[in-house]
Amino acid sequence: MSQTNNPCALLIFIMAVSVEVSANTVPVTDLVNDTAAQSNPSLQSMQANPIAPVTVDLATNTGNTNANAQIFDLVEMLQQEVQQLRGQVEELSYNLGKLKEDQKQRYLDLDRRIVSLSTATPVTKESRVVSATDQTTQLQTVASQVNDSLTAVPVTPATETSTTETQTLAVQAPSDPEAAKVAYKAAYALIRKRQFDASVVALLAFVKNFPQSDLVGNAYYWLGEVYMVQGDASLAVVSFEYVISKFPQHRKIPDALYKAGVAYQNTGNVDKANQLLQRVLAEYPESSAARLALEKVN
Amino acid sequence: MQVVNLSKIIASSVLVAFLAACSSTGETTDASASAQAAQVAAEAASLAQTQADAQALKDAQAAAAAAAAAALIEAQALADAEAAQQAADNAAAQLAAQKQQAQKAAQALAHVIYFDFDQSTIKAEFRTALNGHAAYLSQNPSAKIVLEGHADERGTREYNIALGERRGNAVSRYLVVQGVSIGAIEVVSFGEERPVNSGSDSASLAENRRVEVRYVNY
Amino acid sequence: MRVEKVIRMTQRITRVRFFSVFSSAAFTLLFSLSAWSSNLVIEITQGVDNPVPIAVVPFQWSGDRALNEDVAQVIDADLERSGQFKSLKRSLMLSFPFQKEDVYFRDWQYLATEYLVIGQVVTTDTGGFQVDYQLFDVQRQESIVSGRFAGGKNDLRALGHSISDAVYEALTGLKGAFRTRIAYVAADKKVNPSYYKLLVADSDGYNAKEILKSNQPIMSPSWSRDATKLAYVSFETNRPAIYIQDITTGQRERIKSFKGINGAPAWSPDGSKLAMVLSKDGNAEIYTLDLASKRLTRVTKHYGIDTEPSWSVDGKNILFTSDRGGKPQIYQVTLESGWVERLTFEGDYNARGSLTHDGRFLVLVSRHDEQFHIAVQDLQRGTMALLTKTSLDESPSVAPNGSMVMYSTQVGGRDILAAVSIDGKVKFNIPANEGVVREPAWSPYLN
Repeated sequence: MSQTNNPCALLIFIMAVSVEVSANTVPVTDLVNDTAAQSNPSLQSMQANPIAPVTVDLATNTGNTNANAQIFDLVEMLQQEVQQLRGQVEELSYNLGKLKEDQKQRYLDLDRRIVSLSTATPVTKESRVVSATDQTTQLQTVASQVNDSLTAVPVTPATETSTTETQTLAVQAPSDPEAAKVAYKAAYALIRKRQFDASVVALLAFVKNFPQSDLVGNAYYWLGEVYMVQGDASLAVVSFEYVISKFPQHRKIPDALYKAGVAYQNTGNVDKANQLLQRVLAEYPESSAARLALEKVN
Repeated sequence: MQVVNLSKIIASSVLVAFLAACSSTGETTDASASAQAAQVAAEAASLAQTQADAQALKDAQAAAAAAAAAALIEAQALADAEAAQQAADNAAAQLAAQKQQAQKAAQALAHVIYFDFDQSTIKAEFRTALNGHAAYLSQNPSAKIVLEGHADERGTREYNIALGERRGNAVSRYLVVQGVSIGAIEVVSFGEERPVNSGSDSASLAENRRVEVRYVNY
Repeated sequence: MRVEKVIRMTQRITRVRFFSVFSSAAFTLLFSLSAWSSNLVIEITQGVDNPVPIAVVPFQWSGDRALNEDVAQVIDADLERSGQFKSLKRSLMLSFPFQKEDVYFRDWQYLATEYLVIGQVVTTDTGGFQVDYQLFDVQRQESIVSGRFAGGKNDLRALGHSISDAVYEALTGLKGAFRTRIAYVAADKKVNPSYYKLLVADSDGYNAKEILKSNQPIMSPSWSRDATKLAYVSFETNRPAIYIQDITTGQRERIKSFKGINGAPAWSPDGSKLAMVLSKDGNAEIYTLDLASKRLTRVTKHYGIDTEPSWSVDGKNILFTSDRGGKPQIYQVTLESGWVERLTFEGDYNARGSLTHDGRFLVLVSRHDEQFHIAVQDLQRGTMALLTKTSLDESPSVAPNGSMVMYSTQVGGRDILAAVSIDGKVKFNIPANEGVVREPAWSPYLN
C-alpha cells in the first residue's frame, strides 16, 4: 500500500506544476504540504488554501472527502491510461518491426528473383557489354531504335509522366525482335542497378514500342515488381493483373499471381489476396511461388 | 489549645490571690483584709474560671461549627461526585448507544462492491456506502475490516487471484484516501475460487465480480 | 475387397483360437473394466486423418491366476490416445503370438496392420513382474525394437506405459510421455461438506490418488523436476499459502507466506528455485525463491498485475502474464538483466503461457470472440493458432515431450479435463465421475 502515497504525491506534483503554469506566484511547498493533509481527513488547510485554484475546485464541491475521492479517481484514471498507452506503444513498435522485416523480405525476394532470372537466361557477351555501358547511352539507343514507330504503338496503361517522357524517345523498328530484346535487357539492367525510376520509364517505353514482343509479359511483370519495391502496391496490382489477364500462358503466371496476392494484401484487400494466393496453391502447387503463397496464407 | 489557655488563666488568678495574701501579711494588716484578699483572689480565680469556661465553650462551639461546615462541604462534594458519576454514566451509555447506532449504520451499509470484467474501477453507485464505511472506520480506530476480492470464472485462475486483489486494493486505497488507517484494512483475494453464483450467464458472472467488506472487529 | 476377406477369415479363425488360448485375457479385460469407474475415463473425440494401423497382441501370461491388469490393453489405449495410431481389435486377430517364431507376417499383412507388438509377462523372484516385448514392421517382416521392463506387483500398468513409450519413440522418433503423471484439482460444492481435493493419477487417468483434501480452495499444482514433489496453493488457513508436498511420503512443508497473494508456484528447470507470485510489496509481482538458501529475489516491478510465471527451457528467462499494457498479455523477463519483452500481440486476453520442451511453441489461454481457448504460438514464425473450440478452456499443461496439451474445459456446466495435440488434430476428454476436475499439471518424465 506504500504505493498509494506515491501516485498521490505524483498527482499533487502534477497539479503543482499545472498551477505553476497558471499562476507563477504559487509556492510549490504549500501544495506539497497538502499531501500530508491527504492522510489526515481534516483538509481545512486545503479548503482554506488561497493559492491553489485546482485544489479549491476539488474541495468546493461537497467537501474534503470528495476532494480525496477525485484525487483517487484521477490517479486510477491516469494509471489506467498509462497502461493503455504502454499497450499501444508495445503494439505499435511490434507492428513497426514487422513492417520493417516485411520490407526487408520484399527486397531480398526481389533480389533473389533478379539473380535467378539473370542466371537462368544466358546473357550474351554483347548485351553484357551494353549493360555495362552508361545507362543514358542505353536509353538513347532504345530511343533511337523505337523512334519512328511511336504513332503505331497501342495505348498501354502508361502514366502521364511516362508518356511525355517516352515522347522524347525516338522509336524504331517495333517488330524487330533483336531490337526488342536489346531494349528489354536495357530496361532490365536498370532494375539490376536499382535505378527503379529509370527502369519504370524504360519498361513503359518497351511495352509501348514493342507490343508484339514476347517479352511484353515479362516487362509488365517487372513493372509490377518495381512498383512493389517503390511501395506503390496499387500500381503493382494493376501490372500483375495485366500479366495474369493478358498472358495466361506466360511462365511467370504463378509468380504474378503470388505477387498480385501480396500486393493486394498490402493494399488491405485481404479477400482478393487470399483468392489469388489460393489460386497459386491450387493451380501451381509445385511452383516456388506456391511455397511462398503458403506462408502468406498462413 | 483551648485547654492550655484555660489553665493559664487559672494559674494567673491563683498567683494574684497569693500575692494579695502575701502583701497583707507583709504589712501586718488585720486578718479580715487578708481574708478579703483571698476572697478576691478566689473570686478572680472563679471569674477566670468562668471566663475560661466561656472561652472554651466558645472555642468548642467554633470548632463544632467548623466541623459542621466541613461535614457539609464534604457531603456536598459527595453529592456532586455522585451526580458527576451519574452524568458520566449517562454519557457513556449515550456514547455506547451512539456507537451501537454507528455500528448498526455501518452494518446497514452495502458490503459488496461490484465491478466490470477485468476492471477494478469503483463505480459511483458504491461510493456512498464506502464513504460510510470510511467514516465509521476513521472514527472507530479499533474497527478492522477484511476486503475479500473475487473474480468471475472467465480468464485464468491465477490472473483472477491477482484481479481479485487489484479490486480489493482499489477499495482499500479509496478508503485510505478517505482517512481510514491502512492498518485497519486487510485485502485477501479468492479469485474465481469462491463464486456466490455458480451460473454462467452474464447476471451470475456480474454477481461474482465483487469485493466483500467484512468487519472482523467493530 | 480386402476388408471383406479379412472379416471372413476372422470369423473362421477367431472362434477357435480366441477362447481356447486367451480366456484369461478376456477375464482380465472384464476385471479392469470394473476398475474404470473409480478413475478418470478417456474419450477420444478427434484423431488424425490417417492413423497408423498397429496390432498389440495380448501378452502371454502363464500364471495361475488372471492378472489384474491387461498390459496389451494398456499399450493399446496409450497408442490410440496419441491419436496417431489405430489399433487392431483383438476379435479380428488371427493369432496371438508372443514370440517371434510364432508370428505369421502374412496374417498381419492381410489385416492391413503395419506394426505388431507382442510380449509376455512373467513373475520375478521378488514377487513383482517382468515384461518382455517386441515391435515388428509387418511389411518388412523384421523386428524394430525389443526390450524388457521389470517392476513391483502393482506396477503392471506402469510397465505397459514404459512399453508404449518405447514403441512410440521407435515409430515416431519422439520420446513417449505415457509413463508420466498428472496432478489435478477436484472439487464438489454440491455435496455436504463440500470439498477441494488435490489428486495425482497416471497420465491415462488411472491410479488416482488423493494428496490433499480441504474445505478451502486448492490451486495451481506444479511438479518438481524429478516428479516426486508438488508445489501448490492452499487456502486452508483462509489465506493463500504455498506448500511443497512429497507425493510418496505425504510429508509437506509450508513456504514462508506473506500478507496478500502467495500463488502460482513454478519449479525452475534445474529444480533449485521456485518462481512464485507475492503481493507483499503492494501488488502481484513475480519472485524467485532459492529453495536451498531460502533467499527471495524480486523479478518484476510494476503496479500492474504480474502473475503466472513459467520458466524458459534454459531457466534464464521467466514468462509471465501482465496487464501492464492495459490487457493481460504474455511477457518474458530475462533474469540476469531484468529486460522485459512482450511475446503476444494477437487478441486482447492472452495468459498463462508455458513453453514446449524445445522452446519452440508457446502454449497459452487466449480469448477470441468472448470465448477462452487454448492456443499455441509458434515463436519462430510468430503465428498463433487456436487448438480448441470449446469455451472456458484454461490451465493448459504441456506433456514433457511437447506432443499433447492437457487443459480444463466446461462441458454441460461442469469442469472436465481434456487434451489436445500440439497440432490441434487429436483431442480427447477425460470426464470425472463426481464434482468438477480442473487445473491439470502434466508431470515431467518419471525416473
